[in-house]
Amino acid sequence: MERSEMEEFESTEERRKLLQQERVILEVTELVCELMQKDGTKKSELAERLGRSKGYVTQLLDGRANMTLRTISDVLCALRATLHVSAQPLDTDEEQSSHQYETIVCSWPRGGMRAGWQDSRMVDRTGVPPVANRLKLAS
Amino acid sequence: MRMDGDNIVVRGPRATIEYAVQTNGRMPAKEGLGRLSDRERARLFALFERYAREGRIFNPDQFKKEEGEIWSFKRDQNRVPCFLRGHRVMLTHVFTKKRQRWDRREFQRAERIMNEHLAHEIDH
Repeated sequence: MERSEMEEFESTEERRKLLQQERVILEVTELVCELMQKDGTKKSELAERLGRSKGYVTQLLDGRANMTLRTISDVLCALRATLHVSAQPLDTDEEQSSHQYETIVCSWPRGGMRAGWQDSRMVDRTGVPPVANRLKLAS
Repeated sequence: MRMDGDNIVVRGPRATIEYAVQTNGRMPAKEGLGRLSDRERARLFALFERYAREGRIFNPDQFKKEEGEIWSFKRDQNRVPCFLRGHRVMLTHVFTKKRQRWDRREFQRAERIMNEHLAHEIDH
């Protein structure tokens, strides 16, 4: 099969690092957006809980603002969730490359989210649940 | 019309992201992405990859329906209009937008590229 444009892009180490940074940023921002959507939380409400402006939340979700671990923790805390982080080998092998997404796992207090939410998630091409599939209720 | 696979951006379990191809064989989205910096391209590629894997983007500021059959990906000030063909997402072109509202010409351009692509795809 011919290499895709993205596989071509990733062929240099420098670009691969850039792409990996963006994957991680997107993983976090999408997780926050998903929590907000499932919980019906608006940007303005999240901003209020954080004591910040709506513009700040927009920048955070766009991945432009500098997100420290403290920032991420505060945002998830405002959404009644917490974060568990683990590392996976970053392989060049395509079969294993999907595992690189499994870096962040989020959980939230029991009853904090609507029932049945986890069941709607997908399984990736290797059959290994992607990061969001590993979302689990905190005991 | 070129359809030999060189218009594939990223394949995923939920969708394939492709460049729409014009009658003359040009792929304006590919040309547009080629003009961006590596950082800007990485930000957009990560978004495409996410969509290809999950089949959706939760952040409505980064992927949404614009008008008619035209949707768009957005990172920073770069917009990538596209249209959906089942599990395929066809990128029409790339433009930089600083204002909230789209320039009418960008819609027209996206629709023109979409129509050219579809006309040839149906022919083949």
